[in-house]
Amino acid sequence: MRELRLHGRGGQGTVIASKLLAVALFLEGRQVQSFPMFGVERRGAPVTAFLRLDDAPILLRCEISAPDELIVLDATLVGATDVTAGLKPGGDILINSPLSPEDFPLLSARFRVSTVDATGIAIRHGLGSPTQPIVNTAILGAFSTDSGLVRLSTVVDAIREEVPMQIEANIAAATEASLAVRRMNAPEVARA
Amino acid sequence: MKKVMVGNHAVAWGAQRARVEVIAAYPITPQTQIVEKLSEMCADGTLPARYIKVESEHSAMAACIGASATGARTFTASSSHGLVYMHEMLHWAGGGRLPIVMADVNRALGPGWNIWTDQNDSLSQRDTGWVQLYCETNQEVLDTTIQAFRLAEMLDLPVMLMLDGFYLSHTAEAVDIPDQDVVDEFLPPRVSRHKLDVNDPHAFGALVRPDSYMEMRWLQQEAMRQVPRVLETIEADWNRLFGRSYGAVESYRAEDADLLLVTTGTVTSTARYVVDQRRAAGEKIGLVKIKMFRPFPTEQLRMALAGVDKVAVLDRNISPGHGGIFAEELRSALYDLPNEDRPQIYGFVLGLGGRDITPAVIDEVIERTKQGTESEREDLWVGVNS
Amino acid sequence: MPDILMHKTAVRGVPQVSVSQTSTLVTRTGSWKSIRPEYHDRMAPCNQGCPVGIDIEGYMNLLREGRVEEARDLLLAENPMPSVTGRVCHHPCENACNRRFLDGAVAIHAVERVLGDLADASPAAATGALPRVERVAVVGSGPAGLACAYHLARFGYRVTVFEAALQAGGMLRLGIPEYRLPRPVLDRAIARIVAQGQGVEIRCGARVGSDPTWSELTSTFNAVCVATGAHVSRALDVPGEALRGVQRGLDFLRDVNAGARPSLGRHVVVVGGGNTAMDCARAALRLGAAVTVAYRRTRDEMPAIAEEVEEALREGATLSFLANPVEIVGPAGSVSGVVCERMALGEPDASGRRRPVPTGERFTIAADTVLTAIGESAELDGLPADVTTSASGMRVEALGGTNRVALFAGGDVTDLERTVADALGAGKRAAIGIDRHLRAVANNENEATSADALRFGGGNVSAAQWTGRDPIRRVAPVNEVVGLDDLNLHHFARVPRQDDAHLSTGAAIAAFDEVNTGLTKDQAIAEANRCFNCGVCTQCDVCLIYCPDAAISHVADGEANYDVALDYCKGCGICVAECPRGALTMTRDRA
Repeated sequence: MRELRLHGRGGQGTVIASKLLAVALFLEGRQVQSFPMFGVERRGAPVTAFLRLDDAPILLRCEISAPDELIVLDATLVGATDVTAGLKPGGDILINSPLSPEDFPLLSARFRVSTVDATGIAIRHGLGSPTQPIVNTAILGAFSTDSGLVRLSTVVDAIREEVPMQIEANIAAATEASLAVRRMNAPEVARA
Repeated sequence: MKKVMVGNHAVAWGAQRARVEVIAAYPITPQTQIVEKLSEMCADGTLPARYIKVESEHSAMAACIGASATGARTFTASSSHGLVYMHEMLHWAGGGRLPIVMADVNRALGPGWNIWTDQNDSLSQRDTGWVQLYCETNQEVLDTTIQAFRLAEMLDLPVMLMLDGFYLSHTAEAVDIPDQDVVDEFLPPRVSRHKLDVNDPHAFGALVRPDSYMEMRWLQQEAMRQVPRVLETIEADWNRLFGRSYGAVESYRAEDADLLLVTTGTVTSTARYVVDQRRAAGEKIGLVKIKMFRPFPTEQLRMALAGVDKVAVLDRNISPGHGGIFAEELRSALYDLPNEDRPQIYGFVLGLGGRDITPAVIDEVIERTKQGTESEREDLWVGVNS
Repeated sequence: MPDILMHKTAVRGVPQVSVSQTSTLVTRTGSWKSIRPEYHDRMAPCNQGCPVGIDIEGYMNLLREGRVEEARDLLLAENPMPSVTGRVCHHPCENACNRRFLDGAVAIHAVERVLGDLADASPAAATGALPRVERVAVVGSGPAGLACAYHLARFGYRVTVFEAALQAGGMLRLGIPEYRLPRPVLDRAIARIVAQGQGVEIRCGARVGSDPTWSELTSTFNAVCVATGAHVSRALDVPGEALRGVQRGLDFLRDVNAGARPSLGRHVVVVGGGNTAMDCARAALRLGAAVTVAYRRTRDEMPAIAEEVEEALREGATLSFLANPVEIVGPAGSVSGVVCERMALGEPDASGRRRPVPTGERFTIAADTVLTAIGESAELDGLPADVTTSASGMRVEALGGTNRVALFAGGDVTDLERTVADALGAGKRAAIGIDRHLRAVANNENEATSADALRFGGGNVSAAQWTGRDPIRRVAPVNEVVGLDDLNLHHFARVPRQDDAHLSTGAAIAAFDEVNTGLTKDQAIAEANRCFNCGVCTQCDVCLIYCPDAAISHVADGEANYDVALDYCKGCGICVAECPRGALTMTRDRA
């Protein structure tokens, strides 16, 4: 079983991203469970969502405290909040940022960091507004390349199934982002 | 058709497949996505039902009572304080023998103000004459919503089904939405025995004198007594059509166990995980899940638990001044078992107000039960330093 | 899947729910009653208050249901020029509206205006042949004359209107400034009146008395209606009235309305408190003057329409109250000021208003121009010699008849109320009177039909009822006006009245453009939805829903809107108490 945690801000589509990823993985025959941080939601405030996937039925019905991977939809959360809390040593972090992984030295020392400029891609494809772009589909496209856990084609299928509007623009953003991931040049950090 | 959906939507799809005719609900906090989804379905024609918005949960249940009295298949949903606000009308629905089905998202009651899960909202409605069914997965939620109508309409009893706040209500997982034609085979249109009908007017709810009141209560209790048997036939039929069944009481890896956990709701799943680990380590530990709380499944529990050394009841609820509610009812149910068959019962209170119940928490319950140094008569709190 | 009944549903004869064993139909609760409800349509206060006699409640009801054209037609059945009255009427209907006690009267004038503009935009096609052979002359083309001609044409007569001025419209054209009544609006309204039924011909520049003479008229036409109006400004009767710069307000308005833009100097004093005074003041403001209105009583006693007073104040006029002009002064033959005496309010006079009494204190208001507007009188000298008049005008009967056979009159020339709405109502009454007279002559019938028979609920006469073509079905009508106590306001949500849109004050006083730009059609429908429909059943089903014995049911198509099952109605009166609009009353049981 793998456990993921997604960090974003209210309005970016973080909870939807965990749902979309769950749908994509389900379409690939996986067992999935996705849920938001249990609590109240506010636009602009930090938002956390979770995802479990497994090939066997998922029995655990409790919160995720030690995820295997992180998806960070808003790079300003890095440093502002302890996004890596509980992340297993050597775990994967995918950050929405125009910077390169080496620009996050504190993270890249302990984890395998990748980046993608999902915000720039989302704006180019007219998703959300320039001040409040919706980056969730772009970062999922990047995640498909970066993690190898899910195929881009099933992310696209999930978008077609779940996204209510601008379907083609979302697909285009996911596709573009899948080709725009920047990985660490440093040798792989030993995985736990 | 399988779809990834949250528990709230599983309820809505269950109600849609059951072809409910009237939904009356209060649309504001603490309401859930259940009626939000249903109102969308009513608006877009997916569900050709009459959707009545009301100004309070009390009124929601009053409207359901009126609608159900006319013979309509009637549904509502609520949560925590909303459910508690319905309390008076829940008695009217129960005493009026109206087969209303309601979903309750289990959430704690304030103060302190809290939106997370526990069972005190629904358990404090236990004497209102409603059947109570607690669900473990989103699939069970959807299936139970449909089954509840058949149970309710066969016995003229209202049925309340529960799903844990957040752990099911907001958690998305794959759920099979059964085909409508098969559901139609399972659940025929409602035929009501007493009906408010302007063309054949009768007086309903008139004064009932002491010479008749007890008979009506006896009949209500008699119907409750029939529930386990009727639910069994309903589940058998469901299993035949869909290949799934749950049981009012389910034993999991309980064979030859010397310690059994007794669970309800989503705690059951995490407990299964712990049981699997313990079994893998060679320990004789299993669990018994209670789905049906009203009527209390005394017979099934006596069969499931007789002869086991130790039982640990996990109560995500508290009756202040008494203890965990499932533990207390279980003690009563097993009281007159022969001494050699009657297990030691440890009642643990945990997970109130949404506190997470992790495998580690369940491990603590198991270890304390194995030690057996604490009192069987007292409520044993987990995670509270006193 | 056959579900067998698996539980007992009765024990010892007691059923599982508290339900009666027998049908409640065996209990004839109707035998308990001594009183019972009856549906009676009653009079809405707006209808009663309307001098034109419009079925306001009726067209509001149609408009509420989105039946815009039917609403328009019902309005046109009584009012020839709703686009005009929607703009200039003093709307006593709104002053009577019961909704004013909840959240503001329905903006009836604005709804009327929308429907009126709709009517003018697409006038109905001419109907062809006129069934009546008689010809009628109407003297004067003001609102009374045009209303008389309009209704006569609708009754099937050929009508000739004689107008002394070069254009039709009377005081509407001469007296009311364009910023209140744009001339294209008036022109369209008159054009529609002329077009309808092909029965109306207007001859302008024809002064009856000289050409043609009264005797020529009475010999050529089967009936004549006099509607010559009141065009004589009353004199102030104070020293200095002959000074240069002192002008009758009506003359000033006539010039301005004809397009003149006279130079008034810096300071203008308007004397008077009526609509003419307000029109003078606001017109003078638009010509760049600083305006003071001198009025001998206070604002509460001003006869002008309240909105006009507010507008004048907003546009910058100064109102000087309790100021009674006693002399106009000026060196070298030109005005320089108005000397006023300060008044105080004393005991109420015959009109009910408190009488102004002199205090002896005097003060002077500077003036380059003085406009007098203290009232108008009818010119009675040019009338046929033998008609009966009072000091203020011709004497007429209820349907406009005078002391001379076949001579009728209406409007400001008579001694009745002098408003546009009253003139339109009087013109209609005269038309009905003429029709009644000519039919009687033709058929040798006596003139038995009384005006009162045409007054549903005590309001003005109804042309729709006179012609027997009232499209509104009235359920057992009774002649009572519905008051606030007859309504159940609990059934109405508070919805604020929609205010007319207005030009900004700066834009308003810069020119003579229309200031009040009214409501949109959707806003008008929203206002119609605010109408209580006082006294008239709208089939809202409140009675049916509240009846505790389910004794009230729908009637498919009958005389009444609902059927009351008297075998079960126990006379509790809940339906009457709950009826939102007072359309139900309790009566003694006849059984």
